[in-house]
Formats: sequence, structure tokens, C-alpha cells
Amino acid sequence: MSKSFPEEVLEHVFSFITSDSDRNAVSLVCKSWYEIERWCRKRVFVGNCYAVSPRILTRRFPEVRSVEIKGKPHFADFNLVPEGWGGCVYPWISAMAGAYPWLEEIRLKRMVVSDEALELISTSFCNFKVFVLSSCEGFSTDGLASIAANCRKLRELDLRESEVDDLSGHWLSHFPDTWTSLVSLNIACLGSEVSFSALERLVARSPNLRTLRLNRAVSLEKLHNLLCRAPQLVEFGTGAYSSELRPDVFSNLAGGFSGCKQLKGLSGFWDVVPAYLPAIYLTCSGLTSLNLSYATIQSPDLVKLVSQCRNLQRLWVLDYIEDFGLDALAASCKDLQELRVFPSDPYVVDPNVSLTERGLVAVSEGCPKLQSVLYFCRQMSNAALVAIARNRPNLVCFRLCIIEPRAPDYLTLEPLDAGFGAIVEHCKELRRLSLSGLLTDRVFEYIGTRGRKLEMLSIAFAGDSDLGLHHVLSGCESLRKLEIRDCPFGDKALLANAAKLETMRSLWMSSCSVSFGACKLLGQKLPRLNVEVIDERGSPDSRPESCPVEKLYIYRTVAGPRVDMPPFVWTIDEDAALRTLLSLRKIEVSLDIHERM
Amino acid sequence: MELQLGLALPSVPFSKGFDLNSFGYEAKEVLGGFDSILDYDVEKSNEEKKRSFDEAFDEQSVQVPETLPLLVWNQQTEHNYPENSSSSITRSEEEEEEEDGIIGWPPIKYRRKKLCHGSPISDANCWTVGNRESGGGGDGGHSRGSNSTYVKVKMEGVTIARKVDLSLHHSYQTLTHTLVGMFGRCQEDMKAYKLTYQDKDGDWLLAGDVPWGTFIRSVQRLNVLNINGS
Repeated sequence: MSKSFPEEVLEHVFSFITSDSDRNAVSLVCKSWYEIERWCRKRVFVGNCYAVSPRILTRRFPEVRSVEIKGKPHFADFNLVPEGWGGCVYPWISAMAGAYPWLEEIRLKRMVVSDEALELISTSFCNFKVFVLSSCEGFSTDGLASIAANCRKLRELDLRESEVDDLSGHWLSHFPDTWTSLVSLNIACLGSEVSFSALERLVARSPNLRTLRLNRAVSLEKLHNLLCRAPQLVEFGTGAYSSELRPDVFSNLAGGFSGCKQLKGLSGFWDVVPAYLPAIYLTCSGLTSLNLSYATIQSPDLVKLVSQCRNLQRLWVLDYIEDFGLDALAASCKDLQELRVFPSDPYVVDPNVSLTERGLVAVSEGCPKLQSVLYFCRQMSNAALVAIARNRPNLVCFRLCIIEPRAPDYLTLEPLDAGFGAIVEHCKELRRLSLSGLLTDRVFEYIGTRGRKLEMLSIAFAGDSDLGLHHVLSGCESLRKLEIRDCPFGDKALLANAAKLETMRSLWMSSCSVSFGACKLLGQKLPRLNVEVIDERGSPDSRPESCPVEKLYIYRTVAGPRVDMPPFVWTIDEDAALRTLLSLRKIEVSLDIHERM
Repeated sequence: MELQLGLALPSVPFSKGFDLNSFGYEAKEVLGGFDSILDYDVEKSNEEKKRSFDEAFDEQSVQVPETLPLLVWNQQTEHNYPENSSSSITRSEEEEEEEDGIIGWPPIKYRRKKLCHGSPISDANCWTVGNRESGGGGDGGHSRGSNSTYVKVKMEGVTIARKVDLSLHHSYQTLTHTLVGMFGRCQEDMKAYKLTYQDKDGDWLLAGDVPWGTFIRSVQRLNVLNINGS
């Protein structure tokens, strides 16, 4: 069929296909489609920086303009991946510097970004426009200074939740005075004070500025100076929202906010002084997104605020909102789609807040569009989970963290199997699920058979045996990412479902019961998987093969084993695997005997 | 359990028997020994026949295999759910671990942890002066690290804890009065109770031993004890 069209026509047709999976499907149709598609692919997403090499990427797609790469596994967010594990972006940047001089966008997540890499970026891509560093680390404000000084066409600089070595706030002054293209700037993660006059001038000369998220060091008194220079702002993140109460400060601030008629998103509010909150009341009706997850505001003030935000679609908040505040949210915010409730004091067993399962049930009842939930709480019941599932079959993401591991249904003291079972049964579109509380293998049978669209599953302190993992791996046909910690899952389930791993992006298991012998077998039998054993106690070879490994990270790759391993990471090469064959025979024989007994 | 590689399973909700070496992998000479290990008891359970290369390949080339067993899952054991008690056994083992705190649990990002612990609440008292938009419980008063003026109160013998807004009180007397009412006791009964509080260091102290101002700055929670014993 492709013969009937000239290449240019097909290329034009393909340009309308934007989703990654559709582009991938197109390239599999025939050789000529593969060729045409690869020459016109402008955007590439690499979900794991070790799944493909920079060279393979640049060789196959010569005309890329936008790259998104992810590095460390998700559990790195919670300190489960040791420092120095890897995920360096430099090899990618240096390959792209040669291959993609017209590169416009780089988005990185959980990667180690050195100042050297930033410098190379700043000098290699003359058309560079968008730079997003999400949960990245390894760089300092010096590296940012070179980006500021050299990227003349930069529109977006977003450092969301990155860990920046904060040497000085002076880097912001490196943006040249002639540079006026800024659309989005997020420096909320920085610690030190940026030069306020430089910031003020930057805001004043950026007519297209839509998003500005400041850091905690920017004081409340100065906010109105920025707001009145950028009335076109759509998203704004404040700094520390506290000051001695002065009528002039308040009225300036309120005036600044009410001048920004298009404001849709607010965040920041560190150290908030509740008396200043009314300054944003006038903008509340236009807000669709409100991030108060760093704001220690008590329930009564939150209720007053939230009940004015009638068009709110996304709310992030601390548990200070309490059940009472969530009732108010459910009553006022009928468009709410996403709710995240974080713990104000996660390490205290019995905090001074009354936030329970009731608040979440109320929101699930009152907010018909709710589809994404992240909820930290200290008690849960099967009845509540069933109610949530029935109320909101449209849930796409459900992440529940009951803070005490293995907490049962607090009413019946039963496991929460039935509750989570109801979630996967009723929510047919569920893509992401995080489990917590007391759970037996039974819940994994529900998930395996009902979670047809589930793509990412996080499991902690759950299950009784291999059967749990077996249900997940043998079911869950759409599963791409599975992360497990502290569960009694071992070799048998993993080996019985080995091929499933090639259909997934990655599997993380820490503090489980997978033996080094099984890891070797997997690595050797499935050459398209990298099987990484992460063990800070020293080489796993120094222990018996049957000894469980500390951490295991398995991912599919077309790049082969990685070469930048630190001393605490071992990948399974074939030689090592061969050495283990004999001992494996012993494991299998003993398993066999065990089963027959 | 059967260990042979490549035997079809009796029922196939999750895994189809499938020969590893026939699906796109080159059989490697060096692995000959390996295959024989996995097939080592093929004679023992011969109810099912190993499929030929063609059968396996044809079937699998239509549909990517759901799973590829290196060990075959034994269906017979599948529905032997352990009783709930087994999870409570493992639980007691873990409790010691929890006292030291579990790394990475609860799953909160590093940045957020910094907020919870030792965040520089800059000059917490700067907002105690007059509130222009007063009303509601969150304004006025002092900092409890989180600007809260509410603390949790428990009374000995009462299962449900309550909360009290300290900013509404200016002396031990009014506070006690409120607490008595809150728990449905009459004022005379109050003599049988003692008010204790937990300070910022986590120590439990007797309320009334320190000036009200000192108390209000450090109290984290309250407990009403029955001094007559129970």
C-alpha cells in the first residue's frame, strides 16, 4: 500500500500521529514505513536510560527535536536506591550534542546531571527552548548560570523537585537583558535567595511569562512587585507566605493577585500565615489547581479557602485538612479530578489531626470527576474501600498509603483484600495502584485477574507467599512497572513468569526472598533483560547462592549490560550464570522435594 | 512440583507451556547442560507430552507469550491460601524493625521529609500580632511547629480522643473547665483527675507546674489521668 504514496505524503500523514505507541506501531508495519517514520520522528521518550543506548537512539532517529529520558527507578524517591547507583545524563548529552544540533527540548526525570552536562547543553543546541529537570540531582547553580547565559531562545526552565547544590542566587542575573522569551520558570526547589532585582527585571521583560514558581526565600512583601509586572500569569508559586501583619502589605498583595485575571494555579505557601490567605480569595473562583502540600494551614482556614475554589480540578494538601475539610471539598468542588493528601507528621503514630477513611469516602461521593488519588492516612476499612470503588468507577490512579505497615481493617481486623479487590473490580480504567495495609495473597489474585489495564503497581509489606507475585505476573496483562518491597515473594514466582518481564519496562524488588541463584538464571536465560543485584553488604558471590539478594532491579534493554556500575551493583553475565547451574540444580531439587512433601 | 521446561500446563489462565529455546532464542551449545537440568524429571510425570518445536512456535508466533516459565508453576498448590494468622506471625518479627524506622517508609520524598523535620519556620511568632481577618481556629496564638493551636486530648477510661483549641484559653482554669465539659464530667468530678501534657521533647509533665505561657508554648498533646486509680 505504501507504494501508492510518495514518501513525502506518508511523512506528512505521520506527522499527525503524536502518541508514542502509535508511532511505534507505524514503524512496525513494513520496512519502508519504518524508514519513513524514523526520519520524521521529532519526539522521543526513553522510559529507562539503560533500556537503549544513546548511539542506538541517534542512529535510528536522526531528526529528533525533543527528548524525554528517565533515569533511576521510582523507589529512588524514597531513598531505596543507593547513592551513586547511576542514571547519568552526560553520555546522552554528548551523543545528542553531535547528532541533534537542532534539539529544542530536553526533559529529564530522576537523572544525575552534572554541571559539565549543563554546560554542554548550553553550548550545543542553538535552538534550545525547553529544559525540565524533574527530581534530578548532581548539579549546582553554576551549571544553571551557564544555561542562563547561553540559551538565548530558552522558554521554559523547570527544576521541579530537583536537588540543586545551591552555591549562590546570583545565577539568575546571567540571563541576558535582551532575552525576553521566557514562558515558564520554576525555581521552587532552590534554597538560597535569588537576586530579587534580577528576578524583577526578568519578569518585567518577559511578556509571555505564564508560569512562575518561586522558592521559599522570596518574601511575601515582594510578591506584589512581581505580580503587578506579570498580570498575564496563569500559574504562580509563592515563596514563604509569612510576614508581620501590616495592612499595606496585605492590600498590596491582594491587589497584585486580583490583577492577575488569568490565574489558574497556585502553589508555594511555605510557613503560611493564615491571616494573609484572604489576599487570594478574589482569585479563587478561577483556580483549577491548588498545591497547598507545603502549607501548614489548619482545617478551618482550609475550609474557607477551598470552598471558594468552585472550579478546582486538582488539590494537593496536607492532612491538616482533616475529614471536616474534605467534607467541605466534596460539597464545593464538583470538578475535582485529582486529590493528594500528604501526612504533616508521617513519623508520629498518633498525630493531632483527625483524617481518616471517612474524608476520602466523602470526596469520592461528592466529586464525580475524581480520577486520581494519593492518600496518606492511619486507618482504613474494607467498607470504605468498597464505597470508594462503587462511588468512583472512573478512578485511573489510586495510591493509598496506610502509614502503619500491615494495618488491618480497623473495624473488623480483617485484611484489606476485599477492599482493594473492589477497587480493581469496579475501576476498569485503573492504570496505577499502590497498596498498603494488611494484605494476603488473595488480593493479588483479584488484581491479577481484574486489573486488566493496570500499568504500574506498587506493593509493600504484603502477601504471604510466592503465590501473590505469581498472580500479579501471570495476570495484569498491561503491567509495565512493578515495584515491590518487603514481601515474601521469591524465586518460584519469578522464574515461573520470567517471560512476562520482557513485556514490562522494569521490576524492582527489595527486601524480598529472591535468591542470587535465581537472578543468575534469569539474567542468563533472558539475554534481553538486565538483571541488576544491588547489595551494599558486598559481593553476593561471597554468600550462598540461595541467600536472598538485598535489592533486585530487572529491566528489558536493547543496549546490553551497562558499563557504569558502581561497586555495589552486579549484573548477571553469562559466565557467572553458568557457574551457578550446578547449585541451581540443588535449589530445584530441594523445591521439588518440598512440594512433594 | 514439575520442573521440566516446555510442558503445557493443565489449564492456562496465566501461562502456556512453552519451550524457551524455540522462541527467538538461539539454543546455545553451552547451555545444553542447563536444558537437561530443567528437563531432568521429564519421565517422571509423563501425563503431558512435550510439544514439538513447530507446535510451540506456531502458537506463540501468533501471540506473544504471557509468561515464560523457567520453573513451571504447580497449579495444584494454587488455591491453598494460608490462613490470616500467618501474616500476623510475620508481623511480630517486623515490629522490632519498625522501632528504628523503616527506610523509605512511609513513601515520602526527601524534599517533603525536610519540610516535616527541622524546617526553618522563620520567626514563628511574627504573626501573633492582631489578626485583621480573624475568625476560625487557625489564627492567633503560637507555633507548634505547624502553626496549630489544636491539640489532642485523651481522658483515661474514655476511648475516643478529642481536640481542644488552645488559642481560646488563657489559663489552666478555663482549659480545665472546657475539658470537663468536653468529656461530660461535672466540675466536682474534676478533682479526681489530673491534667498532664506532653512537651516538645516528648516528655509527659504535670500541667500547672509551669506558668501558662510556658505550657502553651511547648504542649503537644494532653492527657487527663484519673488519680484515684482504676
